[in-house]
Amino acid sequence: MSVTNQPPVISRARLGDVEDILEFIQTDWRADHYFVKNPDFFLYHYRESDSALNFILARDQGVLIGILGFINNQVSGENADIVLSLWKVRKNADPSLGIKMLNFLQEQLKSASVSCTGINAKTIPIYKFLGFQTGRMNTYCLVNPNCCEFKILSGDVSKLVTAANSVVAKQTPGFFLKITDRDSLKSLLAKLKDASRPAKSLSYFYWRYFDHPVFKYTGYSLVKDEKTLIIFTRKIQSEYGDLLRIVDLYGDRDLLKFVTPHLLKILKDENIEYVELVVGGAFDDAILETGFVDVRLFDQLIMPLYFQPFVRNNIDIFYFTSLTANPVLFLGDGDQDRPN
Amino acid sequence: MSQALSKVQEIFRDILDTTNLVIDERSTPETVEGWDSIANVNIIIAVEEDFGVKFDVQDLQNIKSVGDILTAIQNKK
Repeated sequence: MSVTNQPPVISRARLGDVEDILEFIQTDWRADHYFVKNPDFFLYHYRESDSALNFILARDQGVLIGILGFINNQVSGENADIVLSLWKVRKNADPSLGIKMLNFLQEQLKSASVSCTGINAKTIPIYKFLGFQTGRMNTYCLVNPNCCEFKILSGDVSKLVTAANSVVAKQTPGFFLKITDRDSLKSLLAKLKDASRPAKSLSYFYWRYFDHPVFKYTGYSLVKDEKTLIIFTRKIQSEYGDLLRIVDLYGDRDLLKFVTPHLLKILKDENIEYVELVVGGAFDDAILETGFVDVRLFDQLIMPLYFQPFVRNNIDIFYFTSLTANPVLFLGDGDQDRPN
Repeated sequence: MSQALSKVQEIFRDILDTTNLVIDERSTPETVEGWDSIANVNIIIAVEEDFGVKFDVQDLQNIKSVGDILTAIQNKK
């Protein structure tokens, strides 16, 4: 708290705050944080307009003592589903300052919801106190049954191969297509009758998957009868081999079981070891009959999630959301799938 | 030391894992090592259980000292 007992000033960040925010990240988060090393990428990630940044700041006597970054799933405007990232308050500050910053964000943006992936497990009591739903994201794997030797995964993968083989021979009804351009995505989104939650706008998808300055994403769609599923993936090339990460599934997610035979063909054609799908929330029904297996159900089976640098461990990724009606969160939400 | 303060001190010692910690009504996050946002919520949850009271988010935001916690407990009883 201030020596003058004045409460910290909470405000929306402007472009002129970039230097202070990066310095705060460097000193209070991590000195070699990717944003610190790449200010242009930071601007891609958080610049909302010519003047505003997607950050809430708390200053004490002008000194930055707290930051709260966020992603507006409509890119700009009110009533959006918001995903938080980079939430940090300086040591010895008012212990409820972070909550006050969150309240400010919700009031200023009139947000429909707030969610976050990658939260520290120790902070879960805070989110529960706030009435939010919390949980650990499930880590699903669809292996390439044609793979001769699994070099990224470790442990007994036989159950995963059996599950994948169970869908290899299945018919593949519906139209599975690569999303090659923006107009195709626009048409697909227009077909969706019920928005997934958190909801994402066309502008969000353009920003997140078409305009990304570092990663290359590939989108696919499956249309069957009146239903549409949009999938965004990223091929990760590690020192031990390649995997395909699903970063987003949007639309009628119960179509996933019709997608997996196509994914298996991609794995075979491109010699990819497996597909990774990290998801939190109401997804249990959508995963049935897909060939994906939650690797955490098997002792000593390891599916790494970090590749820059490579870490051969299972990683627990926790989330919270204020949404109550069947929210589903993916690794591509927030900043869990970004360069490190 | 009042009985309420003594109980709150025990909660602080338990949450912050410091057996010799001594607090008074003027103690604040600046003067108590480890009293951060996570500890704050854990302290409040423990106070709710020990004192049989229920706090809301606004109560949480108003707490800036041990004295504020004692006042909040009194107001909820």
